[in-house]
Order: sequence, then C-alpha cells, then structure tokens
Amino acid sequence: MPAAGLVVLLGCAAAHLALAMVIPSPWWVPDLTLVGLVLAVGIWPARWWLLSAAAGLLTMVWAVRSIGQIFAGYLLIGWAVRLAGRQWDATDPRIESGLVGSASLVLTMGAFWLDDLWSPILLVFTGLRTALTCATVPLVHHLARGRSR
Amino acid sequence: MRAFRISLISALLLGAVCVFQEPVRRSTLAVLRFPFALVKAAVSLVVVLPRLPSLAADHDRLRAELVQSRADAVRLREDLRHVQQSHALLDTSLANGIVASVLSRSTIPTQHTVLLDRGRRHGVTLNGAVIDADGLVGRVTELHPATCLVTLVTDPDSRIAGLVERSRESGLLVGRGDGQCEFIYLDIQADIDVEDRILTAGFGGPLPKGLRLGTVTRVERDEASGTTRAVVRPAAHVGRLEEMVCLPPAS
Repeated sequence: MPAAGLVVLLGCAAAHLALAMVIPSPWWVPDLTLVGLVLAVGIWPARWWLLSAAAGLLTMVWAVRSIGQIFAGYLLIGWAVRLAGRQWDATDPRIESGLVGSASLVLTMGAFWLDDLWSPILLVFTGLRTALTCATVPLVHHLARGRSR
Repeated sequence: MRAFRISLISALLLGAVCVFQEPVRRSTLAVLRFPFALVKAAVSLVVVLPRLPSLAADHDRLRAELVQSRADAVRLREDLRHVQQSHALLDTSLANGIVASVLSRSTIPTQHTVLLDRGRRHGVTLNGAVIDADGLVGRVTELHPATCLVTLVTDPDSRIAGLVERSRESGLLVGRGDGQCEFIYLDIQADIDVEDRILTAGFGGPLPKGLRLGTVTRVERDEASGTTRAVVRPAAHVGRLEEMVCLPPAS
C-alpha cells in the first residue's frame, strides 16, 4: 500500500509538531519528520520526490532563513534514501536507523555551516538529538509496518 | 555682733546677685565647676586613649559607608526615575498591544521561531516587539494576513541593542541558538557584572526602550582583543510561551 508512506510521513510530522509544543527546547525534540521521511521512502520509493517535497514544505513553515537550502536538503535526503534502498534493504530498522542518524547529522551540520554556528555545546546538543532521533526509529518502524500491512 | 550682721547681709546680697543675675551666676558656676571639668577630662582621657586607634578605624569606615550610602541614594533615585519612565512607556505601548497565542513552535533546532494566531489583519506590524509578562520574547519577522512568525531572542539571527540597567553600558544582544544569549560589543573595562539586568536600548529602532531582555549569568573579559562579552539568560521563558502581546513599533 504505497500511499501508506505518505500517511507515515504526515503522522510523524504531526507527532513532531505536538512534541515541539510540549518540550521547551527544540534540541530535545526528536526529528520525527526526518524519521517519517526515511521510513516513507522505504515504503514508497517511487515517490521519493513527493515525500521529500512534503517533508521540506512542512519544515519550511518555521524557517526564517535558508528556506531554499532546507527544502533542497530534504530533497537530497529523499534521493539518498532512494539510492540506499537500491543497495540495501531500506526497510530494515538498522539500515533505517543509520540513514536517519546520517541524515540528521547532515541536516544539522548544514544548518551550522549556513548560519556559521560552531560551539561545543551545540555540537553536544546535535549528538544528543541525533541519538534521540535514532532511538525513535524502532518504535516508528513498528507502528509504520503495522499501518502499511 | 555687728560684724556678723554685715557679713550675713553681704553674703545674702552676694547670693541674691548670683541667683538672680544670670551672667554673674553663669560665671560663678563656671569657676566652681572648673575643677570637676578638669577631673572629668582626665578620666575621659584615660578611658578614651586606648580606644583611639579603633575609633579612627571606625571613623574611616563610617565615612566610607556614608559615601556608599550617598552613591546608593543617587543610584536608587536614578532607578526610580527609570522605572517610572519605563512604566509610562510600556503603559502607552501596551494600550495599543495585541494579545496573541502561540499556534506552534519551530521544529528546526537552529531556528528559534514561534507562529502566532494574529497577523496583519489584526494590526500586527512587521518588526514589532513581542513581549510576555517577563520581558521581550522576540520580533515579528514574517507577517501574514492571519498569522505571524516571531523570531525569538535566542535565535542566532536575533540582534537587539541593549544596555545594562545599572551602569547604562550599551551593547548588542545576540542569540546563541542554545537557549541563551550573548551581550557583545563591550570594551574591556565595561561596568557589567553577574546578575546585572539587560534592557532594550531603543536606539531609534522599532523596539521601545526599557523592555527587559535578560540577566547576566557570566562575564568573560578578553585581554587580547580588549573586549568583554556576557552570557545572558533571557528574561522571557522562551520554552514556555503561551500568551504574548505584539507591540506596535516605537515611534
């Protein structure tokens, strides 16, 4: 059921938004939109561009700068997941976790580079947020597989 | 017997003069009290002499306290004047303020923004200040008909002219992206210390003067560059925002 990919992405984005409202700092909110994108592309790889664009547009709502770069970043991640899916089983939770972790690091480091933000505390925050995001993958994977069956 | 009478009458006359003539009485008493005064002075000298060094120290301390108290009084008068001025400014601004609620918060950790449920249609203006009960929250950076996006003071792109409430040192408050801010562009001898409060300077910009920005938590002086920077904890609890007031730009 390919459309389930879109449902997974939108569900993850909604959960991401809800968590951002209750957790005081965005650094402690796992990037569920990214998790949703990686899992959704694994479920519906043919429409990676649609899913990437949807994730990019959802994230752009909050952006006040580097808007184009954020959108392009999500497109590149969708494309990279699509490519990885050709080499490995992109629906394996370990592969998914690796992809999510790499994508989260690339996105955050890209933002640091664009905003010229380099400080030890932010690097620590990045590491913790990436770990937190990766830790949610098994749970989301379980829910998504249940939904896509 | 006659001599006795004369002596008695003379004594009574002298007594009457002493009692009823004030200048004479005062002179007489002064003469009579002189020996007692001498004895008392000698006793005082014996008592006070050993305490003389500590008295001198006490004197110096009291003089220093007096100077400090006078300086405090001047500062308090200045603070009072400033608070009255700020209240007057804020009352004027708040009268035209628009109360807004947070619709949602940024999911991008490097961009600290919130979306409010009031926009151009409600009278919100671009670059206007957004405050809550504790101080400045941020500025309106994107304006839509029914919503607006506010860049918080903790965002790395946030730049606000501020001054130290106590010493009136001015600088620039910039966001760090980790929930704290930095107060920069201070020289090495800048009069700024931990627990100092930072206010908006209102140097002709859209922000009114006197809004609370935050409290200094750490001061770092760099001898090499001759500058001082302070880490500032924002006054507004940016992680717990609900209701806010959008102010019109200061005139």
